[in-house]
Amino acid sequence: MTFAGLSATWVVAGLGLLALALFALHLLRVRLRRVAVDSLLFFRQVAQPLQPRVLRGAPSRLLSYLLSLAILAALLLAFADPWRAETNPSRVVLVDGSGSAAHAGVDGRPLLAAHLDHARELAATEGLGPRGSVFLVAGELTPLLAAGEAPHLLAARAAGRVPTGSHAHFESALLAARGRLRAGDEIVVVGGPQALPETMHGVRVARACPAPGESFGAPAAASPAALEPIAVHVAGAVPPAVALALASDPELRQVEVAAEALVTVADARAALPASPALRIEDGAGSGPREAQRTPRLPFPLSLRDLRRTDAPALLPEPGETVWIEDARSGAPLVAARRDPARDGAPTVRIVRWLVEDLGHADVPRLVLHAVRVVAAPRLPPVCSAGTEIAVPALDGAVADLRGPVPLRLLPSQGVYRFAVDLPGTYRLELGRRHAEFRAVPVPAAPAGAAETTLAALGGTRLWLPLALLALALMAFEAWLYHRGRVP
Amino acid sequence: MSGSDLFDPAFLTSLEALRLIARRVPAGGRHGEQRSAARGMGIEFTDVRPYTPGDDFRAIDWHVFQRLDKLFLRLYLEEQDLPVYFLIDQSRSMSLPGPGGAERRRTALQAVAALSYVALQHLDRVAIFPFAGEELAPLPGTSGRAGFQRVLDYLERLPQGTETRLSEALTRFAHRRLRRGLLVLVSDFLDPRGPDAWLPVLNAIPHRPLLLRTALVGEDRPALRGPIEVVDCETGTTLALEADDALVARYAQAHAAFVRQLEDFCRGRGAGMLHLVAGLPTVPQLARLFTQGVLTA
Repeated sequence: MTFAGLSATWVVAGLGLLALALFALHLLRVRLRRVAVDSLLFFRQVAQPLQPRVLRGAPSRLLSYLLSLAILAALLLAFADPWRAETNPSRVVLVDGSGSAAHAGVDGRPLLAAHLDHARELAATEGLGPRGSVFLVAGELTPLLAAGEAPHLLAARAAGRVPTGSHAHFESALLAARGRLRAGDEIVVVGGPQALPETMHGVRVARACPAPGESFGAPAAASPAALEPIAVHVAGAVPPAVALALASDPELRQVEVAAEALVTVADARAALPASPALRIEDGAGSGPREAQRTPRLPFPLSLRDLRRTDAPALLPEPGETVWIEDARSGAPLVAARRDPARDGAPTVRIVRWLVEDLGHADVPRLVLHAVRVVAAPRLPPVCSAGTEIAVPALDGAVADLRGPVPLRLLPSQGVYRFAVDLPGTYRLELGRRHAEFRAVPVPAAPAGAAETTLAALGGTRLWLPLALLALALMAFEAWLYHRGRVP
Repeated sequence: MSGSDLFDPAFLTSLEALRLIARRVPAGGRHGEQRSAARGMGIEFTDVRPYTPGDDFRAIDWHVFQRLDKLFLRLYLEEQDLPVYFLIDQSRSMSLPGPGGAERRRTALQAVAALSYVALQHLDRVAIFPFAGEELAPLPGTSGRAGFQRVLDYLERLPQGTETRLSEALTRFAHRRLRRGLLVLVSDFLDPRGPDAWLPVLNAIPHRPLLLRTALVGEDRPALRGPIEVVDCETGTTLALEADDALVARYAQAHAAFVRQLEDFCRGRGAGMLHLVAGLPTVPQLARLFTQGVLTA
């Protein structure tokens, strides 16, 4: 949202003028009338003194002035956001959610889903710009995505939306979108009526209506923060107990193509993509083995009766965190690490004999926990404030989150989960490892909660209530000053 | 305020009507026209008494001797001069204009001039001690009818001071060890520390006090409303307050208590007290000293 469509330069100039006017008001506003009297002898006896207004009150009055300015600036920044980069053109994407979008395309999916996919692609590939956003036009305007938000949120916010209304709503939607943009920006209509103006006061109007049945590409990668089924690809020969565990969990969705997978479960011979992986390895060496948890195992397991008289173990690899080891030799049986060769993707290696027992209760637990650990997202370099983040706990240690609000994190189900509610720079310390990321303020749009019209949200109409609110605040403060309630 | 404004001909003419009567004049003073408790060589006959050896032969009433063949002395009231000491407040509050521009200071100076005139006309001795926050140059003892002009000149040139500091002024006056006389204290008595700070000092002074309180019209009910900041014209001290009817009523009560305290003191001390309202003719107000027994013999 911008401040009445003004550029940041004009907003700064306007703020400067407002500051000057405000300063003049503070200088000229009503003070207590001074009356010279012959003595204060009787006044001291009978009057309840108010706060004195002497020269030393000047700093306080200056503070009051600065406070007024801060209120104005905070309101402006919080709601109008004029300082976002203005060099890049912005685009408002209007997604047709009218009744016609309820029809199914050639792929069997509703057109609305195709429209949303296309809008997501647009947001992901071309971006929305500093003033852009995505709106669903379905009877009423519903903000789905604001500038700076991750495109994958679009699907979650549009979930459950039912196409309603008619194309007639596009007229008001176009006008409202125009109010949010400046000359040179763009309005992209996905679906919707065929007849559209080419430009609206310098704002280009483009159509991005996919042909029926057109493929919209691969589905978006599963959002780390969204609670979607984990796409698992099984490659190579994995023990039946592992396959059974993967098939029995409703939160897992097995996919055929490795590129679509969030987690790959594979044996030692399969090639691993640059994604989290659970690798079942045969191991090396022999000897009596008895599985034993290490303190770094990030989820609970009993491991009762998991022993073999003669079985191999994993060959240790540098940088690994051993989750389960042989109680006798200390050789690793389950270990996790981040693989630099695969862009830091986490890998959990499990020795095969440990997950071959179909009847052991710990086998599916180990597999499913390990899948969730490796499927947990890696730390994003930049995220929006308020995002819930899950970081895989490759060991069971306590992690420290340094930031505006320091936290100590305990792993739960193999994952550190936390939310970065406040904007700022965070540092997650996991033992000797650490990662830094930044939480940026979320634009005032919408997280699917408030459904309102564009006109009510912003554009040229927002500054008036803002200005009235600021004036009311200043008038109230002036009244307090006049009554001697503030220095 | 020019001298001609302060002491105009009408004012000077009105002074002839005044006369200062003191209840008691200490013995041992210079000869004057004021009656004294001492019997001596005055001209006002009071009594006779039998002659005793050593009495002045000139006082023997020879007519009585011819009729009764006994010696009696005629007794006269000895008339002595009355030292009159004026302590006049020159603080800023005395110059604060009231309704119609009236100032307490003008009334105070006129009162001093008028009483000085009467005293000098009766061959009394007059001294003026102005006071404020700082000590101002006094007018030393002046007597004789010709001294009135000196008094006027002095009063016209009297500078304005700063604060009302009655206890310090009275203490300084007490240390002068002057002959007992009449102490005329002319002030608004608005000492910031209140009457309790200076009334004990005044009480310890042996002179007979006469308090002339100069007041402004309506000073007991200031016409103030709303949130204001009152500034002490003497010290510059400020006080922010909300003035309303209730506050004015409380102010009037406090003011009345203040005046009552002064009057009670004078009553107990046997002193005189007169309220002079600034803006009204001074001499008629002063006449009440004699006509209404404010100051009785």
